[in-house]
Amino acid sequence: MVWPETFMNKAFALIDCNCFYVSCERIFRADIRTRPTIVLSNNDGCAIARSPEAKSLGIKMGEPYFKIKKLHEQKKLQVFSANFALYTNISKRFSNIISSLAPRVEVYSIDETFADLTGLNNLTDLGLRIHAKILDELKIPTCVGIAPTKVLAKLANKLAKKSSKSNVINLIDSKHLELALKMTAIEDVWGIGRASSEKLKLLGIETALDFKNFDNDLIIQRLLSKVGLAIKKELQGISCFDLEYAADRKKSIMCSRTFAQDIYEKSALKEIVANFTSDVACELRRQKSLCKEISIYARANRFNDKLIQHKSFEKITLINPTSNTFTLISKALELVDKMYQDGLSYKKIGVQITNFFDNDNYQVDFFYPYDTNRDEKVMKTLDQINLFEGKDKLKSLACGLNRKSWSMNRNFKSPAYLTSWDELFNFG
Amino acid sequence: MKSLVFYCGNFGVFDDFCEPDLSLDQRFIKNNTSIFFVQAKGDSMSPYILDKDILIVDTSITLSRGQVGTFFFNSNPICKRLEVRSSKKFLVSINNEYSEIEIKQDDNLEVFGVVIGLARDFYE
Repeated sequence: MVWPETFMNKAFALIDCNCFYVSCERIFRADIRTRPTIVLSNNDGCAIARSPEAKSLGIKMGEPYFKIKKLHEQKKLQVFSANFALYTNISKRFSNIISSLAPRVEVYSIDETFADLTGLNNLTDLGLRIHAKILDELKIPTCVGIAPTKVLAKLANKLAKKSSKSNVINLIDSKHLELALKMTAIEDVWGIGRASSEKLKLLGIETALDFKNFDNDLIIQRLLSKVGLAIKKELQGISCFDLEYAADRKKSIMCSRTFAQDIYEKSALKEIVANFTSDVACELRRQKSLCKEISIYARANRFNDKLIQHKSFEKITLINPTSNTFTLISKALELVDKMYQDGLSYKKIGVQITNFFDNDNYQVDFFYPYDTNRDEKVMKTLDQINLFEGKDKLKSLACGLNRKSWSMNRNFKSPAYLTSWDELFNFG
Repeated sequence: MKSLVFYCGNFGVFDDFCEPDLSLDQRFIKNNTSIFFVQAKGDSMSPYILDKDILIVDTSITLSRGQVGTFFFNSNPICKRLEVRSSKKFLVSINNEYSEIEIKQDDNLEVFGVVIGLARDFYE
């Protein structure tokens, strides 16, 4: 007899890449496989990924670059600017490998994927196979946590990360479950934030085990709401969270950046906004949507108290939904005109589009009809030219002739090995 | 009575025989998670592989003897043919002007992937 799935014992795996960005940088760099290595945030601000060797040098997460510049200059530390084109390419391959071995997956973040392994046998072996395949094909080390619930899978994964012996930890029918829960501090349980863990500590709950064994569910529900109670149940091995599938289409698209220098001129501001608008419009067309709202925001450098602090936000609703880059740019530039104030400095600038419609399912305004077919053709041609000739080959003149005047600091960026024909990796 | 249909036009012939266009991706990228494009540098593998050829590398298959692979040999990226003779391993260049490299005990050889094909632009 086949049991319905709801009666079956569930099994989840969480596969997590070890210091993902650093591992991506090391794919083609055999010479730095064991060297202390970090990756910096956008604009080379601070460390966002550290190799174990860099951690043992005492470099903290989020440490600003200027504090570690000396180590870098003395060549004791390998430093990279963020190369997101590379990371997203590898991330896609990573989750595709898991999909090829597991029936259902949830891409949880750029470097973490959940897999539903319910009904499969020899789960530890499967975990080892997933680990080996990712290491062989992508040269990326991972840890795999397997458990009857997602919260426990996350916990098992964390333990695998800490362990020097095993990359795969399976808590299903494990006699070590109690110990695993005891070893995990309450604030390290998935879904328990700092505020919640403070509250739980007042009740004497210090570890995941204390939480699991706490016998007053009413108090937990009052303190942490229903979600908190669900987390407790998950720790007891009762599955409450199923895989979640990200909506295929986004409901809003944003492009924002903090710039190296303060920006004062309206013309520069317009150029930036035009470029960001081109990017979001392109993304919008890729998912075959149209938008009816565009907004921009900007603010001054928060860390410089000599400057006038301000936050500006402007939004406009369009009459007809569109994905036409030029229409959107002209609207965005109107917003800049409205927002801009002479004398203020702008450090962080963003463009966002919202209120989406499907390409083939929307209504044109009765009083302002307009030819959407023509729009579509023009944009299709634009996208095709840029696909074959290179990004931004054809663009609105509002975007300026080069992005250099205000582009990001990325002084230590590795080549776009996987996304540009001109930057392929060389084998001698 | 059953109604009789008379077809006008191409009898649906074109629809029935329509098949997707051939594409090089379909031919060479059987496994899109493990295919990497890299570039050859230098003439050590000529005349088979020339400078600036785009190599199609598959990291999911195990390199067997005689195959051309991409390696990190003591961290240096190289493209060579792996040969095994009397239980010794050699990295061999196809161009005779380059001598073969014997892999010794303290050498570190890491296979990146197997070269399964290449692409070349004659007029670039």
